[in-house]
Amino acid sequence: MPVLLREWRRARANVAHDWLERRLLQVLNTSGPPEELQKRASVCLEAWKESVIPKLAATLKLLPDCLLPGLLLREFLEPPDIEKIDRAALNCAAIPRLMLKDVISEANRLSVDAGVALQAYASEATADKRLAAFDQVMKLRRFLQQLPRSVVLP
Amino acid sequence: MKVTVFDINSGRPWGKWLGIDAVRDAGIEEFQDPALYQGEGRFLALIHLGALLRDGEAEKVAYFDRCGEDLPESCRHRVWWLFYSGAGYSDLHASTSNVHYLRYLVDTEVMYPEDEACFRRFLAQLGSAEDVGDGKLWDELYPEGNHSSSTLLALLSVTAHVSDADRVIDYVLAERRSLVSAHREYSARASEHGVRSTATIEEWIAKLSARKYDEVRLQLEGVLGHVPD
Repeated sequence: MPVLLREWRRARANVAHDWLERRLLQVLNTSGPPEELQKRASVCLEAWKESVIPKLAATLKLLPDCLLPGLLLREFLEPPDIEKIDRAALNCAAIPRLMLKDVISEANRLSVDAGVALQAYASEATADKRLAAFDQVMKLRRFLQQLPRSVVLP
Repeated sequence: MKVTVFDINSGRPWGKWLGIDAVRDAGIEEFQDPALYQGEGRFLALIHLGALLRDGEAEKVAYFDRCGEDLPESCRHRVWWLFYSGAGYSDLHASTSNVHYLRYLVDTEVMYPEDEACFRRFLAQLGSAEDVGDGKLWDELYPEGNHSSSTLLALLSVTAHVSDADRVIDYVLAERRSLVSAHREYSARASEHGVRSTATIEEWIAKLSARKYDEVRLQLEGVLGHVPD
């Protein structure tokens, strides 16, 4: 398996599963008294800023190269052909209604939304803000999970 | 745990491939004989029946299953039979966990490093003290990923995008190693998904040679999904 593809699988699993799902969503999904919520909201925001954002940035840096079919074809095709095929793959859907070339911008948009929601929750730790933060983090996590595990074929 | 390996009727360099000094030769008539399995430890019989066992001959599978069950209680659970051929058995499946029909081919002289690694891992597992009687032991003979089959699927999928697709496929056919790996992974994945895999590597070669790329691609897609995993 190409190294880049392996890195992508590990990085995506680390962010989506280990951090978003197990550390943030589990906490955001738990209700409690106001002072407890405030404490948890601060912990979530700190984890988001210090751990999730750098890991997410490193993961997104792998895209879209890690999903280009040229990764599998280098032994067989000449560079001009690979470039042509990779260009075609960029215009293919990575997930329904989203082309591979647009994956990074969509991830960034969802990441900003999640950060804003977590910041709002930390500023005012209400049940509504907690649920809003949960929803936004869940959207990002779901998006990452939907992305292909392997190359996109044109 | 001691493992005694028998080479039944092949003359292939199993000792070299498995990294062991002692591989005992035995004839076809001997592997069903309990007398062969005297002593302690486990026994692995690598059985090559050639024309006596063709892919798809299910009645013979039933017969060998019974032969395995008829071994004396004292050794039955310590004996493993691996049937292999020069083409692979993609359509033979044993019903007992100690018998297996290898889905990929074993060449007469050459074993690819990745196959050799699988066999050595298998032998190490068989020689471990663990309970290996649940049939999962045979999984060790197959690679974990399906990189070669994914690559072949990718190649077949992009033939419309390249001007010299035929030359590329000719290269794949000539460089048989990757094609063999792809077929082995395809067979393993088909079996894992419970998909009936009837495409032999000879059929693949015939279809690819005849430029019927779509037929092979559809088979691969049916097992791997449109996006290779």
